[in-house]
Amino acid sequence: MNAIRGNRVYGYHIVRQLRLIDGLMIAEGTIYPILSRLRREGFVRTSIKESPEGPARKYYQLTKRGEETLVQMNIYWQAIKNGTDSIRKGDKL
Amino acid sequence: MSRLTDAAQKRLDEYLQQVRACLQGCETVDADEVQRDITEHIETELTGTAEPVSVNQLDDVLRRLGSPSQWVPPEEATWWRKATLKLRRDAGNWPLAYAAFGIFLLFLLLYFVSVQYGFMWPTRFRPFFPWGRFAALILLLASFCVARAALSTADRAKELGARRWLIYPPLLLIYIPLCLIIFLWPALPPVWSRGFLSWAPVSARPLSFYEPVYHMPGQLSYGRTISGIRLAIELALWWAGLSVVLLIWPGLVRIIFRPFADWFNRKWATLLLLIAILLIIVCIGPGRLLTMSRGHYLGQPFGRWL
Repeated sequence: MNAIRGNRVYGYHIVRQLRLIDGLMIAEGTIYPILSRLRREGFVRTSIKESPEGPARKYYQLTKRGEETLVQMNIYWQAIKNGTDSIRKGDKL
Repeated sequence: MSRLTDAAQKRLDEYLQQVRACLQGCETVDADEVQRDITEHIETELTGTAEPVSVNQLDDVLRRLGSPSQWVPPEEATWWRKATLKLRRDAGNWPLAYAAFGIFLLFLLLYFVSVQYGFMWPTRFRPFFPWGRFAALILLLASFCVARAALSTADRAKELGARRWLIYPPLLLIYIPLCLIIFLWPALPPVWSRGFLSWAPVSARPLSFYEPVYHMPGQLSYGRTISGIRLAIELALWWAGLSVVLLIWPGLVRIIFRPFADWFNRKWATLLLLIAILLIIVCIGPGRLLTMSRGHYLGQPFGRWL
């Protein structure tokens, strides 16, 4: 969802962004079912646009609900990250 | 869509067909939409690739995409539905495995009925037994061919899953003797003939069956030792030749004994060559000593063999 935030992007663009993350072992085909699920749950909306470079592309964009959920998820993720970082450094929680 | 070679187009069609098979029964996922996502992804991925796109180039893209089953949302199916879908997805590969095993069972039945327990049948059926043996052999070969065909539907042995229990019996029954023949054939005729002659009536045995005894009690006989050394050298020479062939074409073993020899490579061929050389070195020394001493005894100072 962070890959879609603020932009209208197409599926392959998201795959390419995720490819750049070292250590993220994920089959590219799993991205599309996730996007499809996000759309079904109303976090993302899609639109199909013709592309000058090839076939028509399906673009994904966060909905209002998606943006709100993403903010909450990022806060939650940050809290978990801070917690694990503290444990790693030996700090007391 | 980029222009694909025939093989690549076939591979893509198979992949899409498998995805559609996986998505059967999923209510929340539109198979057409998924197919559009896949073709869009492949098309974008192949942009700039020289046309026609080969099957290897397409395979790289499909490998990164992952298996067709991952397009099914995990929350979609109940366990029994998953099991049904799996059976339906694999159904295309099962009939051959069943056919191989069915023919193999027929072979076993015919073998035991006509060969092993033939003596239990009334005399008037006995003339048919040679035909029964022939038919059993044909059935075994047929089950082997069908098993190999079933094997060809999987890229790796792991993909066979439970089918391997149906495919492996006919394969092993052919592979084991074939392996013995290929790797040990210089040793087989003496073993077979000796094994056969030991069961033959005493009057039918050739004189050579009774080798002269030139040894003290507890020692190996001269004849037996020299035969053993000679056999070992023949075997070593055969292995040396075989290993040279396998060094040039290491894939031969993998193809012949698929899927049990997928690990075979030039390293193993080199090892076989080294064993052969070592065996020759070990055998030639004592062999020469023995033949020379025996040669002196027979009036042939340089031995009669080496």
